[in-house]
Amino acid sequence: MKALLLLLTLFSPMVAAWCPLLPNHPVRVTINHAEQKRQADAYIRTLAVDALRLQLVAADTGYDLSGLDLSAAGIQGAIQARPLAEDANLDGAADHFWLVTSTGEVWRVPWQQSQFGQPLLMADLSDAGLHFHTAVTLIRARLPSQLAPMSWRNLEQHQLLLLGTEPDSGQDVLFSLRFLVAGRQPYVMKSSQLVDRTTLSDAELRQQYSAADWRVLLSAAGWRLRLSGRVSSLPKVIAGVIYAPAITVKDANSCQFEKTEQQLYAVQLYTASQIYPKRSWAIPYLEQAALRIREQPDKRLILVLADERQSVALVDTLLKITTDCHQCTAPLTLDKFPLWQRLATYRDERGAF
Amino acid sequence: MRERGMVLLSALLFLVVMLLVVASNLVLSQLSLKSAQTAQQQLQLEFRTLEQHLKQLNGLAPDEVPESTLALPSCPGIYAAWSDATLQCDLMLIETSEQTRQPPAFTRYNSLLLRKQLKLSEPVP
Repeated sequence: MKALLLLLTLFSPMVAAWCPLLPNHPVRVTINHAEQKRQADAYIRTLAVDALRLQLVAADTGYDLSGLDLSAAGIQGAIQARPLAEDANLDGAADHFWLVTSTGEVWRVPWQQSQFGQPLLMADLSDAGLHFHTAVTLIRARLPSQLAPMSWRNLEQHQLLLLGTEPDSGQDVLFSLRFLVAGRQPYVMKSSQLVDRTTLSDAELRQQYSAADWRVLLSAAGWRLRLSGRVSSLPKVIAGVIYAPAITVKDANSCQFEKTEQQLYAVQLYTASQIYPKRSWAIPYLEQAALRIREQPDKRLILVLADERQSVALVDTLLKITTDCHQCTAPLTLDKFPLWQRLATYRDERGAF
Repeated sequence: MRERGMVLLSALLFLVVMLLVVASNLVLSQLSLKSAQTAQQQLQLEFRTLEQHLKQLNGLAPDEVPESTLALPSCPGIYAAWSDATLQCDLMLIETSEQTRQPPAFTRYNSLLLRKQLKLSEPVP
């Protein structure tokens, strides 16, 4: 009976209405395998109706490198979101994979000694009652000590961005979850621990909120933002600002949009506060288009929405967040890149007297 | 006659002792000079190597990819963070070494650099 229900869920027309942005999209990663670094593709493989497998295949030969049966490992339910890779020790190879189930469970699967380890449940957002279909990105972020709450021991954190859809309205909700980079997460995160940032206070709209208010927002486990429609192309994070285009949906069961206009959301990565004069504004809708950054002759960077045939400029002067204060921004230009940072210098001498 | 012989012998012995003392002093001063020069040469070698190393670091081209370059899948945490592979981070080990044969000495400087550069997916329109 359970299998039949799952089968019906998988093949009913309702599933198409979830509109995942990157359905079953393999993720190219560098991993340590058999004591050498190699390129691999990670994806969720469907073996049977209720049997999913996290699969790693060699990028060059296509041979299976390893796999993890998810139900045997304790991960139940469907998965539409692509897996995300994490390099915790910054050695140039992925050592953890993040999986998001359709009900909103977030799992972290270790990859060590050429095999998958026991998954760890990091968050359970099933109390939100949404369908999670897209894992946008996993970002390693670091707050300067003057901007972080006093209670934070570790200033470096992972920010996981997810998209969930409300079943009735078809509207998307953007989630940002904060996890420790080092050390074990002391609790399983719930949706109720996130700050709802759908509406901003008057003080915030006038960009007059204080540093104390900012720290209060950061003290939560993350935030969620209910968008005015369905996200039409994969959101991008550019210099600390999230850009997400969302189109209003008439029919929650359809992925076809007959509109010519949509809303572009531009929110701050850490608190979803506003960066530009407005937090969202109208932009044209292009089918199967993607957000891209383009360089201008004067080294300015602009944001465009582009498909194969055309592109539309969305933001003429991109802004980046700066560490000067909690709401400080500056124009983003290409002339500052590449950025160099000397991490260490070693001296080695022989023959000294 | 015997007394004169004793005086002569004593004078000779005194001269030999003085000769040994002077000779040993000369050798010691030569050695100390040599060791002082060696240390100075070592310092000069180290200074020269450091100068070359800093010149090498400052003269790195933006697109240069030294042999010992490690492309990181994700950048170390920064405040104004980026998603995906738009911001590419590379770890690079830059090495400069110098050696002399006389006196035998060897100095090497290694620097670990992090390069962050934007990978724009499309060419300039």
